[in-house]
Amino acid sequence: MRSRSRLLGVLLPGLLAMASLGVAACGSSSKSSSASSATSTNSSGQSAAVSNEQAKFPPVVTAPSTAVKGGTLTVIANGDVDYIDPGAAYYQPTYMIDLAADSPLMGWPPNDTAAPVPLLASGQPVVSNGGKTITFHIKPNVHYSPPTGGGTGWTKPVVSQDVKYAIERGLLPGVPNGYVTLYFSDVNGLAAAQAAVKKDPKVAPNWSGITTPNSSTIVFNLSKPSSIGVIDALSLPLSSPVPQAYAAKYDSQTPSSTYGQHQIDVGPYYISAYSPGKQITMLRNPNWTPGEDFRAAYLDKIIVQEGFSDENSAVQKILTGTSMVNFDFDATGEALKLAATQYPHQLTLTPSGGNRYVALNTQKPPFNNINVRKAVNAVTDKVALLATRGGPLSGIVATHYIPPGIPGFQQAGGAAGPTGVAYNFNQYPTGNMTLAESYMKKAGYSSGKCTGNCTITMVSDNTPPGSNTAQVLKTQLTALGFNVQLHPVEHATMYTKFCSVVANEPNICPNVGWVKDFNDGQAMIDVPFNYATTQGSPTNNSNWPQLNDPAVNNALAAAKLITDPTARAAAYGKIDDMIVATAAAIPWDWDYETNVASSNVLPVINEFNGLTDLAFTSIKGG
Amino acid sequence: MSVGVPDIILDETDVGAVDLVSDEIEARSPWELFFKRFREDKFAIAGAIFLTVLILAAIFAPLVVKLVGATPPDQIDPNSLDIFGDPTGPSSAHIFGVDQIGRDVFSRVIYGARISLLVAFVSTAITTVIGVFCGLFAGFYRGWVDTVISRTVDAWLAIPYLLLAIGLASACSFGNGCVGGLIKPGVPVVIAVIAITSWTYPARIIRGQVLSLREKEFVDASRSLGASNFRIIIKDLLPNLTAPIIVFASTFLPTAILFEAALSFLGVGVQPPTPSWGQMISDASPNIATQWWYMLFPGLALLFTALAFNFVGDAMTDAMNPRARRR
Repeated sequence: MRSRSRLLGVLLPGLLAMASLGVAACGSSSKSSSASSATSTNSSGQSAAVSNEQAKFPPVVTAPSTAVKGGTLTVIANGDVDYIDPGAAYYQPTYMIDLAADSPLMGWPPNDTAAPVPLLASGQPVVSNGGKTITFHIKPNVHYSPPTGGGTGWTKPVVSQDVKYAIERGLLPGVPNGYVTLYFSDVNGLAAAQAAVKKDPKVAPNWSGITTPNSSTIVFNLSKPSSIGVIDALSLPLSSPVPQAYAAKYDSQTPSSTYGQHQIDVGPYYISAYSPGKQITMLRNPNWTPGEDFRAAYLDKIIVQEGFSDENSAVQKILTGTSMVNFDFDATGEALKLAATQYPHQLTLTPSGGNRYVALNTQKPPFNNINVRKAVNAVTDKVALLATRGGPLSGIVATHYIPPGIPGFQQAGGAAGPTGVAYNFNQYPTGNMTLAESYMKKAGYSSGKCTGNCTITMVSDNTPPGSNTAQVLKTQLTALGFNVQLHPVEHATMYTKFCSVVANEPNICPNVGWVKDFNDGQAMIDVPFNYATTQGSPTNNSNWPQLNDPAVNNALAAAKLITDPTARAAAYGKIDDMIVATAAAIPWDWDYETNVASSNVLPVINEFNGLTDLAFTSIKGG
Repeated sequence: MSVGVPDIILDETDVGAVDLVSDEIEARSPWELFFKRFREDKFAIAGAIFLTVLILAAIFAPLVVKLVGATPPDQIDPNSLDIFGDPTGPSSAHIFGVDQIGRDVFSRVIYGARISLLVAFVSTAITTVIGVFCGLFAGFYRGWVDTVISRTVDAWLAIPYLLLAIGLASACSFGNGCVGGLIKPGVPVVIAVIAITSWTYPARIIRGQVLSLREKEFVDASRSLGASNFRIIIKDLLPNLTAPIIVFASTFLPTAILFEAALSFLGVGVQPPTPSWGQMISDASPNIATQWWYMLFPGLALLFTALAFNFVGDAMTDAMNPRARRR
């Protein structure tokens, strides 16, 4: 998925992992059926936990039998959505809204995240032509909502051409979609479509690799058999239909499309009003038919209230108030302590499906030396780093990069991680100075500590918890003899000016991480560790270690083409271990989404993103 | 008139006044009178003692921390954090408690004194030197020199100093700093910011003093003997400006301390993990309701230090002014 830079600290939820507790591997579920989730739920609809701490605050992932329709839910928010336009949205909190208002071809029921299930599609796609052709049929008689802000909407039903246009408009500069070229790069005709956009940036191009033989069928023609990734990506909001005749006039606006402020939705809710930075109002979509898809839609109205900058106070407000849930922030620190000790039934911990790691710049000294990297890995006290985010209630110590619940996690070694001498630097969660010094000696530092020119730069967040994490790490590196120059900067600046800019990248970026776009190993480790990422985006690079390992690069290219889920999980698990072996980064956290709700709310957490699923949440008594 | 007349105590506010003890007439220098008057101010004495102890503690910080049994300022004690990763309060292991990542607050308060005192003294010295010489030249030469310097002062004073300080600190806080590496990130940036934004105050004060002094007879006498302007400035005027310079410096010191704390509080002063009282207060702000200790102790240190400097400065001002009446 996307870097945590777009999440503002909120982690995307992932599949809940029973994997770490030895339950059947998530990767074994079949994508050709709407398989039940690899995670099990108990009679209360709670998913199984990945750790003892998380077991105390399990999320409910199915609506209770007592859920009734009615009521208004207030969603308390710190900031705004990244984009109200679903074609541009690439931020998990925004997906809370999009999961309720939009209908991509595929979707995620809260408790079924092994594979996406048909949402706008009438059934599972048919994959043919050796995995290079994907055919979807869409449901008939799906209608659009009234437009945001009122006015004349679109009365015709959804047709396949609307889905095609929705994806094509993602190439427009005015609809800055962050993943269309990432996950649809193998769809034929992309280069020609991009060239057409360059010629006329106000008109969405005709993407020849996407065809609509009739109004209910859409076909994706690929250059390679990478259908799995494409099908998964069609669960993201980009493929939620947009009629060209309605939206074109908005998409032709410069510098940005204004479609978002006039959007028409096809989910159980629609955005009736949007005041940027202030409030989003969602009402029941009068043109959505109950039973049309798997969503329940209990609430009558949802209001997202923005601007709560003091997150501790916001959590307290939710816990002591009524009919509220959190949006784009977790309960951390004091707020988490309050919730866990005084309002335990209003707190849920859900694996986010993301990781956090410290990136070491492998392209310049001293971290171009693998033994120095291993030494730094060995000396790092990951438990202390985790404490800066709230300790065991905030997550578990990571030992590799694919988090619990995502195919490949078990194959990469599960919670314990890869074992063996080749990985010994990764096996001490509280650090091992003796081992670290031995690696420094192998690197040529006879004393076991850095001598000579030992100044290294570290650019970090300037606000907690990121700044605290950096300071703890600095202390640990100083013990190895490094002179760490720590430069805290604004979170966005950390990425846009330093860590994501190849030429400016410091020696260490301590506050990076990745969250899945969908439940597949490719979504977790391809972009962050593939050298193709660095080559393609030198000013927006997400391969922060700038890892260029030919074996890893080749393995990633090959794994993308595997369609068998079991083989795919095995392949990505192996690649995960290969990346660990390079010591290019220090994985230290698989964290939780810590969600809070008022006492009269029956929250349902969607395991896909670990956030409250507005289409299944209800209020006691309505 | 006979010998053995009882003691006559004259008004000691007069410079050069003498005590009559028996039949002895003892002359006291201005400095002796200064210290005598200073000693009479109990608050100033207390302040001076506090500052002496603080300076010694800052110089011998490693020893002080070791004697108390505290951990060094950058050392993290993971056992001092609870299961939620939250810090614990004052205890036998950490008498002032620990901060948000488990570092000893007492240790950081002591080491923070180094930063505060260093910034205070160096920035005051630089501010004073720049301001004094600008004021000297402006007041002595008059004419276009005075016009240029005075108008520069006026324009500088019109700039919102806090915004200027924040901008300078932000611009110079990364890489090699700014001005060709002359102002490096960290403490040098803070010192430079304070000096750049504060030199105008002593400049104005000294200019006013010099305008008066340049008309005195001793200046005419020096000039008539062929002394150059530079010699007159250095040998005649500057020594007569000692009192206002000392008064300004002593009253500016607490301002400099608070200025540094404010910049660190805003995140543009001394960068973590270097301990700074202002930064510690800033870090503690979000959790003041439940983690009061790591705002309280650096806050008290800042308060008492600024108070002590104020007391000492006020006493020096009074002691230097021969016309001030003391009750």
